[in-house]
Parts: sequence; structure tokens; C-alpha cells
Amino acid sequence: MEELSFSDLPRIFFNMDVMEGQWSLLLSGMWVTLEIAVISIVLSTVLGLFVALIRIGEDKLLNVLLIAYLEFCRATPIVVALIVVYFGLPFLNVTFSPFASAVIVIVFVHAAYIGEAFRSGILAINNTQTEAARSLGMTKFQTLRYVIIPQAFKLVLPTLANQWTGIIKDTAICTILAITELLKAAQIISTWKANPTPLVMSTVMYLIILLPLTLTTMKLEKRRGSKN
Amino acid sequence: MKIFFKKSLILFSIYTLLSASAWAQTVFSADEVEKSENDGRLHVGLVITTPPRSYYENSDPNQPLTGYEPDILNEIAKRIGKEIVYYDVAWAGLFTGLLAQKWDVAASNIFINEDRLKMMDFSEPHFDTGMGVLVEVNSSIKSLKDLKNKTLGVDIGSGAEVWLRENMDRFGPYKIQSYNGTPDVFLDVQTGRLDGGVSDLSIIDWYIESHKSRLKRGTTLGEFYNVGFAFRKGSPIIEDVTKAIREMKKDGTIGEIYFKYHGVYPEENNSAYILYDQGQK
Amino acid sequence: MMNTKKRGKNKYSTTIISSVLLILFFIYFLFFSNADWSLFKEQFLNFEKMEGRYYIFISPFFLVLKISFFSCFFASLIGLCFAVIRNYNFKILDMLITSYVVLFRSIPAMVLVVLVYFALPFVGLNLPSTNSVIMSLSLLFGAYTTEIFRSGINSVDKLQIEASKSLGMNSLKTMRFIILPQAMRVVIPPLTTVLIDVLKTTSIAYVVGVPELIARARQMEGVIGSVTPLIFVSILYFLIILPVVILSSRLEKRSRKWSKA
Repeated sequence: MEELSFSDLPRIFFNMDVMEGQWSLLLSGMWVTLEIAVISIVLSTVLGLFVALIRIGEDKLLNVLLIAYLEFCRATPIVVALIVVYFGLPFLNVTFSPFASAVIVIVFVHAAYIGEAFRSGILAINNTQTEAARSLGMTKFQTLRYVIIPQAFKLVLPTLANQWTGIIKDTAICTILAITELLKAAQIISTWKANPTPLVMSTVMYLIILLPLTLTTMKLEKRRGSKN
Repeated sequence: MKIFFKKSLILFSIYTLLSASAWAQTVFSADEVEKSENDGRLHVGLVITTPPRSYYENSDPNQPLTGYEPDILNEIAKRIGKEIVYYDVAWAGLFTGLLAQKWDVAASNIFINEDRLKMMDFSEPHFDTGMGVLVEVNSSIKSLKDLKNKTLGVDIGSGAEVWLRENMDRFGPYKIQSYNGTPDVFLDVQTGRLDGGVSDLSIIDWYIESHKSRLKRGTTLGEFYNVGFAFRKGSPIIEDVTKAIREMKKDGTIGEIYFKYHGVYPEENNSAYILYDQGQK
Repeated sequence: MMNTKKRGKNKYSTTIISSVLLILFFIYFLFFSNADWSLFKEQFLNFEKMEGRYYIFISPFFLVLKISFFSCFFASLIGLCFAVIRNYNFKILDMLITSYVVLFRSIPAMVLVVLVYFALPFVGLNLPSTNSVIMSLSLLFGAYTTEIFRSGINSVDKLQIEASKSLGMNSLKTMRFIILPQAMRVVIPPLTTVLIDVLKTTSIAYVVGVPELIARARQMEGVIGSVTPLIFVSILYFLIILPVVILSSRLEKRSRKWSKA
């Protein structure tokens, strides 16, 4: 059998001939990934905030429901959730496009985590502040809007950023649906040309998107750590 | 607090025990094959989700692998006197694994085309196959002309995908959606997201068999493709395999195997019988 | 947390509204949505076709446990070692470890698994699929555990370290007998979260041909022509992960109480 050698590496993993004329597909895949990511990040953050606000209220039933929701999301692999939403729901006459299913599943799962993060952030803010704000004649909504949420947001920002990184990474799992996102585009070219170079290129693209975010997250975490 | 720690310790040790038993389970079962260099065996990577091409009897992995291609490969292995080892892979990793020497033969209904010939060598084609469009029973797709403005699903990187892209001008415009695996394509035809799923004829027919009330074959694509086994460039075993395939063509073994899974014999001008000039792929 | 007396009235109204909405939602689904239940049942809950095939999932079930146990074990080992090393503030090692953490927190698991399995043979490391998944998951989550252990070590009061030094303990002994036992308490709840993540991430191992649950389900799916195996497998996954989730949220509650106390 022929020996596998280090010198084969560039020919197989960095073979730019393979990529010729294929960059547009890869870039459009990256665009789709970014679209899913951005929409999911915005929606799940908003939804997470709502979840947190309901959780800090003391409605028992809603609280129990939301705890069940959180535990459910923590125990379900995204792959499984995607399959059920994408292939399962159509048989109940609820058909989402691949893009919509991806966003729905990611938002559904991550909103639970983000809600938990917001909740701990809100709870960490001193109760006396609420009382002070209320005694100044602010309504409950105003207290939340102007006093608690801005502070909580700062407090949970590192956790949030971490969660956002997670969302971008999870878009890679959506490749099991019929969306041509970054990983799927890479796989298409890769099997077409019988060469793994596109996969390597997609890794590089993922790193270009994710490295700055991770670095920022870690900086934020450090700052929070030094404050405590 | 102490009691709580004890509790979680117990839980943790239960988990450890479970995992240890899992370790024993998987070490002693023959679930996973490991490749050692130059062990004189024929290492084949293939996708095992596409009956009747390749599948486990009753979907039980303890049974020997069956299907059209495994049968041919088993016969080849017998003729060149090698033991055969199968690797279950996903389409997306089939060629990469071949190049990375994870296995020495890639065999999943691989159409021989220009792009692939640049990266790999192929054995002599062992049969030709056509493609068809799987549709719902009351679908309007009856011929190739009806493909216009439809949404069509294909397996990622398959010959069907290439065909659809190349024939966009003739029959299009239509929308192509790529899936990870043929089962997903067929499923989405039933959910109604796809107007049709394009795949290998025999795979489509096999699937329709269990979904007769809802699915049918809309049309065939008319063209036939050479299917062969892929090897790394300059692999020393190609010649042996090609020789075995030629022998099997001559004595009609391939025709018999084809009959076993399709119920009919291949036509005279199918690569299952044609002997190609040496050197031509 | 807020004024409970005033909230008393709201409490019931929201409960009632939400439950009514839930019930309406289910009624809509059951009676008015034209849902094709027979098709749904045939595709998703077709357990007749599964009969006699359940034993196929036994070995993949244990394989998932095995992969996640070893990944978690090695990830913790990596995390512990790196966190201890970082505690000594060697500049170069510090930089290396930080870049390791940054890099592996940025790579999607799917991509790393593929790279370890297919690319490492070219540099002389040809691992079988299961081991390559264990290796990539260990590396991936090692980045998280490094952070977790570090924050655990940092959570120990600096005064204690000085005290132990003044008692004549060397730094290794301080680490072993003073810092780590206390750090463990802080570290265990987030570690269970990592365990959950590892368990969930094993579901992508089928990409490189590990004969685990999803791979087996997909094969069976092709043969019996129904998605039921996937549903069955998702229930299995749920059953594996749920106990860990419950354990983890309990631990978190405890640790929150400790940190308050």
C-alpha cells in the first residue's frame, strides 16, 4: 500500500484548483449562515428576556411550565429537535420552510438558556434598587425598563455573548435540513469534486466569524471576573 | 450538605459503572472495524442507508451486509482471495476517507464523471443505472418537460444533483435542494415541500414498494451513467478488481446479482455485460 | 420578589388566561387543523414495524454512554491540568493555553469531528472513528473545562493560600490539599453542564461513521420506510440526558445557596 505522507497534505486539503469557480457558492452559504445566526440571535434574546420576566413574576403555573420548557430544551439535542420540527410537523399540516424551521428550533432552544441567564442577572440586582425606584414613583414597567434591565444586561453580557457563539455554531447542525448554508455548501462542492478542500475552507470561514466573538466574550468574562 | 454530596457521588459512580460496562460491551463486540496497514484485506467504505444498493438484512447490523453492491464486492473479494471489511460512512465523508486511507475502495453507486476522475481512479464500470423522479400519486410531473418551475430534491453531491445542474437550460428553470441522504429527500416529497425527489431508479422503486398508496415514479431522466468503484490514484489493487469484474461480466455473475435485487436482467448494452478496452474508464 | 400582596390578583388571571390558551391550542390541533393523523402515525409512531428490532439499539446506546464518559473524563483532565498550569503564570504556557481555549471555543463540533477523523491521518495519526470522536470532543470541551477549573481555583480565598504558605506547605501541596478540594465544590455544577453538552454533541458522531444511535436509526429508516426509528432514538436520547439535566439543575440550586450563604 502506498504511504501516506505529509507532502500529500496541501494537494488534498489546500487544493485551490478545486475551489475555482466555487467560491460564490461557498460565500452564499456563508451569507445564509449569517442570516440564520443574526435572526436567531435577535429573536432568541428578545424571547429570552420575556421568559426571564415571566419567571421572576410569581405566577406558579407559568413558572412550572417554563421550568419544564427549560429542562426540555436542555435535554434535547438540536439534531433531534430539528428532525421533529422539519419532518414531523408537516404531517400535522404545519409546514415550515427549511430556513424557518432552523430559526424556530434554534430560537426555541436558546431562548430557554438566555432566559435563564437573564433571570439570574435580574435576580442578582439588589432588591433595594427596585424599592428605591418604586418609591420615586416609577411604575413597575418603568422600574424594569430603566433600572433593572439595563443593569442586568450588562451583568449577563458575557453569558449572552457565549450563548450567541453557541447559536452560530449550531447553525452548522442545520446542514441536515435542505438549506445550503456554509457547511452544506462546502459538502456539496466537496463530494462533487471528491476533495476535502472546501471543508477546510469552510472551517476557516467559521473561524473568521467566530474567533472575534470568542475573543470578545473572553474579554468580557475577564472584566466581569475582575469586578467580582 | 454532606448527604447531598454522598448522593451525587453515588449517582456519579453509577454513571461510571454504566459507562465501564459500555466500554466492555463495545470493546468485545465487532461493531467497529479498525484498519491496520497492509493487512491483506479489502477495505471498503460505503453508505448503508440506501436499499437495495446496500443495507443490512432487517436493518440488523449483526447480519452480514447485503445489497447489490456488497454482493458484487463479496464476489470480487472471493475471486482475488482477500477478506473484505466494510465501513459505514456518510456520503459527505466517502471520498475524503478514501483519500485519507481510511478505506481503499469507495463504493456507493458512484457515477464516473470528469471531476471525480481528476481526483481518483476507477475500476471498470460494473453496471449502468438511470435516475428517476419520485413524486406523490397525484403529481403533475409526468415527463421531463413538467419539471419546469418545480422544486426538486437530491442527495448531496449525487449524480442526480449534477444532472439537474447541467440540464437546467433544457428543462428548467427549477429549484434544486440538496439533502444529507436519500431518505430525507423521499421524506420531504411526502411532506409536500418537494414536487419531486431525484434519485437512482432502483432505490426509488424499492421505496415506492412500501408506500404504494401515496408515491409513484413520475418520470425517468432517460440518461444512463456508468457506475464503478473508486480508488486512490495509482492504487495497486485496481487491476485485480477490474480483472475480477471482467470475469464476472463474462460468466454473467453480475447479471445474476442484478436480477436478484431488481427482478429483471440488465439489458444487453448495460455495462453489466460490456467489456471495455483496457485503459478506458 | 416584588410586592406580593399587589400581585395576588394578577396571579390567577394570568394563570387562567395561559391555561385557556393552551387548551384552545390543543383543541385546534386535535379537531380543526385537518391534521393527517393516519399519515403521522404511519411515519412517526409506526412501532409495529419496529417490532423485533429494538435490540439493535442496545450496543449504540452503550456506545453513546462510552463516548460521552471518556470525552468528559479527558476533557476534565485537560481542564484540570491547564487550569493548574495557568495558576503558576508562566508566560509562554499561558499564551499557548489561552490560544488553545480561544481556538477550540470557536470551532463548531461538526467541523472538528470531520477534521480530526479525515485530516489527522495525513500527519500520521489514523484513529478509528469512535476514538477520533472522543478525541475531538475532549479537545473541544477541554477548552470549556479549562475555564471552569480556573474560575474554581480563583474562587478560593487568596488569604488561605498565604496562610498555607506560612504553615510551610509548598505550592504543590497547597494546590492538592487546600485549593483543589474547595474548587471542586464550585466546579462540579458547571461540569455537569459540560456532561450534558457532550451527551448532546455525540449525536453528530454519525458523520464519521460511528455506529451510534442516529446512524442506526437512519439505516433502519431506509429499510422500513418510516421515521419511527428516529423518534424512538430521540426518546432514548431524552432518557439518557434528562437525569443528568435534573441532577445539574439541583446542583446549581445548591451552589447558588452556598454562594449566598
